[in-house]
Amino acid sequence: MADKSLSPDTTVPDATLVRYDLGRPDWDPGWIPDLADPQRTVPVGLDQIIDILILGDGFPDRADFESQLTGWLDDFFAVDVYERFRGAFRLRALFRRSDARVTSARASYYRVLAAEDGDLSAAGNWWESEGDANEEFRTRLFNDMGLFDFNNFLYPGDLDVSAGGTVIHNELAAMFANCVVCMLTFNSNGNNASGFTRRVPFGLASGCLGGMLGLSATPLPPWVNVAFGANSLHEFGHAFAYLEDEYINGRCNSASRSNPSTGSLFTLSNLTFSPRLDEALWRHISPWGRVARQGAGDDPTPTVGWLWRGGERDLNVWHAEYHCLMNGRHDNYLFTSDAAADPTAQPDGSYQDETGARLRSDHRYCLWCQEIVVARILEKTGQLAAPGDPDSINSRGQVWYDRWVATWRDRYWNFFELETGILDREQLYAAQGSEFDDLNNNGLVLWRSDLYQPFHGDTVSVTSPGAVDDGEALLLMTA
Amino acid sequence: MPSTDGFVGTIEVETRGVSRIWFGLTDNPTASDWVRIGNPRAWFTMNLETENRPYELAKLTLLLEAQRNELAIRVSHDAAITEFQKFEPLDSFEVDGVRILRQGLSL
Repeated sequence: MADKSLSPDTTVPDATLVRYDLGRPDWDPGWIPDLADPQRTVPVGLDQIIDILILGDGFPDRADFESQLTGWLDDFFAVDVYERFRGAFRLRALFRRSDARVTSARASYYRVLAAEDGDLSAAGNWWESEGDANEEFRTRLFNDMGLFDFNNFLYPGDLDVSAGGTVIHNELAAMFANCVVCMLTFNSNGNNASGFTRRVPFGLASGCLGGMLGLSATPLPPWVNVAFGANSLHEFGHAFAYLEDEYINGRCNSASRSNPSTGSLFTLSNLTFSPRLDEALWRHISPWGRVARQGAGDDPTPTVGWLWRGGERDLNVWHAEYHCLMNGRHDNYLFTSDAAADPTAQPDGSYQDETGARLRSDHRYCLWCQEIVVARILEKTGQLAAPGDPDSINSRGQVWYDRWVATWRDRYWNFFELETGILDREQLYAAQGSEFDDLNNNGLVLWRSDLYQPFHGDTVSVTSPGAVDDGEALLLMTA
Repeated sequence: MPSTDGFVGTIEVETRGVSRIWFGLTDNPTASDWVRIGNPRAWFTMNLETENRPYELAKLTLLLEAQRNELAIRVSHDAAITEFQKFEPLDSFEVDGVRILRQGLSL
């Protein structure tokens, strides 16, 4: 059971700056479960621990901040994988009294930008752009991170994940590997505004000459991943585990990314950009994987681990399960990609933007995302490293991925008891409890949906037929 | 390689386009509870217009024996075929091998 205590460093009621330890007994000292022997734990040193710093912008008083903090902890530990690995996460928070809430005026302490509707705004990529308020944001962010001793290990600058063209958006080079910031926000409605995750540079190298030439400023490392706003556990999945969005944002738009040619722990993704079996990273979870499953007659067909349509885009990208913490709403279909027949359609068969099906499970990852999270935790806490590993970080990523598949996956599988757990997950979808009322209320049975499909095979080759020879004729006659 | 278990429910030979043997499996030797892979009922197929035809015909003999005697089989096969289909997209799977067991033995 996780410790969710908030331990402020001051008892002064009107303090303007308060640091908190969150559930300290869980992570001091750090540990992770020994996947090879669940009865034991493995110590995690200060150079291996994963820091989560929770800051808050726009909070006028501690009560509001602590309320959101408590909610964040409840959500975090409701996720099985984070509860099990709670000893790896050094959780701390900082309250900064702010005279103004998070708005478009940017008068709040950290200068986080909101749109007029109160949701956070990405306008102008403000977190990485020039401008007084933007610079104040970065300065105050990094200054306040500096109020904590945190694990400041950086991914090497030559770490190459081919960002933009391949599977994960995060460029990891020169980014804090073991420190993530969650920035809770208090907007004009008194809410934690709907947010996003962004990689924030320490600063910008501008200069007069560059300005005169119209050159954009160069970001200065280190970088830190910041999960802004509400849905922060979903955003935390982006910031910490580099998981991608599984929802469809824009129907019928097509993904242009591709799978990496070589497996690496650093490019491990919850999305695939090919339907082919030989490119499927989660085949072991699928009905053709470790626990073979099939459906027949009126019994539900297994659905876990097939190709589920969508991943930020609609077409040419797939994820592994119907529901996941990394899914959302946006423009999701509920049941069928025949949009006019889907319950998300308007009465006239048309579709209104951003009124898709909510396919997020608030406290549960799909099994493939869960596995990626565990792999990330083990990588960041140094468990995948071994003597003789290559010097190059890019080569190490490949070696660690191979090691994960060859050794650690079995341990993970046993530790999480997935031999039965995967059947439980199938049963969750087959039973269609209240979590699936959007389907139930429309009389829809998930396994009959066209939103998923099995993996695709190789091209079938056909050669010219020859005459039946004597041996074949004999075989057929005696059959 | 993926595999699917069941009892041979139907065997068909089709010569339209490419000559092929098709068969479907049921979950029970005497019921019509067709096995599905994904949403559609699964169809397994063997190409008769190939250099491997003798082996495909050998598999056919096993299918016939299994159907006559209501014996369970395990079919190993490739992932879903995209170039053609039996009735609906992704319902067809190229067969790699057939294993047949005497009644009472488990796969």
